[in-house]
Amino acid sequence: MPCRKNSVVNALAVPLIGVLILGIGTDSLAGYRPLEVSFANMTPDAASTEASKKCVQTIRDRVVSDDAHLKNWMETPLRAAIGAERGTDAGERPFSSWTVEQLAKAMDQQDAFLAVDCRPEEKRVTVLLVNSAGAKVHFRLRGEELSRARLIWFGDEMMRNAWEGFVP
Amino acid sequence: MPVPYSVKGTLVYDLETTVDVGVQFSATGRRNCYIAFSPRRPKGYCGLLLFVGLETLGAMASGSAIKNGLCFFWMGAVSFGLAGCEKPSEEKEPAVKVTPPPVQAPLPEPKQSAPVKAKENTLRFVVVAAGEPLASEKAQLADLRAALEKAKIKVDAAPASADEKQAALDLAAEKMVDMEPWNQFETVVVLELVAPEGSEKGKRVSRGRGHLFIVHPPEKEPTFSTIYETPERGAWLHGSKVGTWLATHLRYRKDQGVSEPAPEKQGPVLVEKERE
Repeated sequence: MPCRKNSVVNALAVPLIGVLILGIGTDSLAGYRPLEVSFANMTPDAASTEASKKCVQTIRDRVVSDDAHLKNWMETPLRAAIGAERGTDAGERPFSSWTVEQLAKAMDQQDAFLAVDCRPEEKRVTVLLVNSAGAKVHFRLRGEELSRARLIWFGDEMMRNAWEGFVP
Repeated sequence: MPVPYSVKGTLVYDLETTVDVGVQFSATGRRNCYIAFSPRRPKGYCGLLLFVGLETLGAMASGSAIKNGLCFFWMGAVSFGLAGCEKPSEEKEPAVKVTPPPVQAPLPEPKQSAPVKAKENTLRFVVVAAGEPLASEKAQLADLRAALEKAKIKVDAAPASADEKQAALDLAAEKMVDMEPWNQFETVVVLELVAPEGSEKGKRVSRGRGHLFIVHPPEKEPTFSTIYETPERGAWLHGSKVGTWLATHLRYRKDQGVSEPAPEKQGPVLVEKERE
C-alpha cells in the first residue's frame, strides 16, 4: 500500500511541477493586460505613397513593441462612427479638430485612440492621440527626414502619453 | 646658354602612400619634372627608366660616362621632358612663389548685424505658465532640466521675457516667430501651461492645455510640437523622461547624415501621475 500511495503522489506531483515551471517561465502577472489601441491611418489617398505606408507601418510597429494590441480602423468607417463627414475636415489639419467626445465612439472600450498622417516626401507627420485619462494630444513633426530612428523617437513621446491613465 | 631645367631638387615623399619617393625638379616655372617611384606618377617612373636607359647607351657608346657628363645631363633632361614632366596642377606645389596680393583697406562693416551663430548644445528653456506653477509641475520641470544637463546640454532657464511670452502665444497660434535673441541657441524649448478653468472648484468647465514646442533657430516654425488638452493641469509633464527624449533629439540632429544610433527598445511605460 505505501508503494501505491507514493506512486499516486508522484503522479500528481509531476504535472504540478510542470505547471509551476511553466508559470515561472512566462511573464504573466496578476492583473496584467496589454494596452488596447484603436489605430487609424489618416494619410490622404493622394499622399499615400510607398514611403508613407512604410512610415505608418514603422509607427504601428513602435506601438506594438510597447506591449499594445491594435484595433485597426479604416478611414471611411471611422468617420461614419464618429460623425465626421468626409470633406468637412479636409485641408491642412484633417483630423486634429476631432473632439474627445467624438472619438470616444471610436475607442470602443479601448485604452487609447491613435490617428496617423505621415508624409515623408513633405517631411511631416501628424498624430492625434486620446488616452485613458481623457486627454487629447496632437503631435506634429515638420522639416525632418523621417528615418526609422526619427519615427521611433517620435513614437516614444507618443506612447508615453498613450499609456497615461491606463489601468491594468 | 640658359639651363632649361634647374638642378634644385625637392624630395618628394608622400606619407600617405610611402612609395611616392623621388626627386622633383622645377623647370622654368612652367613644368614640374620628377623622378619618382610612384604608381600615381607613371610618367615619372618612365622618365627614370628612360633616363637610365639613355645614360647606359651613352656610356656604352663613349666608353666613359665622365667624359660625356654634359651629354648625359641633356639626355636626362630630354627624358624628363618626354616622360617625366607635366604642367603644374592646382594640387601640386607651385614652382614659382606667388607674391600675396597687397592688403586692401578693410571694407566698411555692414549696417545690419550678422546673424549670431548658434552655439552647439545650448538650449533656451522657456516656461510660460498661467499663474504660479504647481509644486508638482516645478518638480517635473526641475527633473527635465536635470536630465538635459546630465546630457551635457547647457540650459538657459532664465525667466521668460515679455517677447518670449508673446512668441509662445504665437507658436500656439501656429504663427511664425522671429526672435533674434534665440539665434544664439541651437535649440529653444517652449513649454506653456494653461490650467483648466474651474478646476480648483472641482468643476471641469474647460480643458487645460499644455504646449511643448521645439524650435531650432533661425527656423521660425517649430520642428516638433505637442498640443495637450487635459482635464488636469501638468499631467503630461514627464520630467526626466522628456528631458532624456529631448537630449536624444539633439543627438540625432548632431549625428544627422553621419550615423543614427539604433533606438533602444522600450518596454511598457506606466506613467505615474503626480497630483497636487
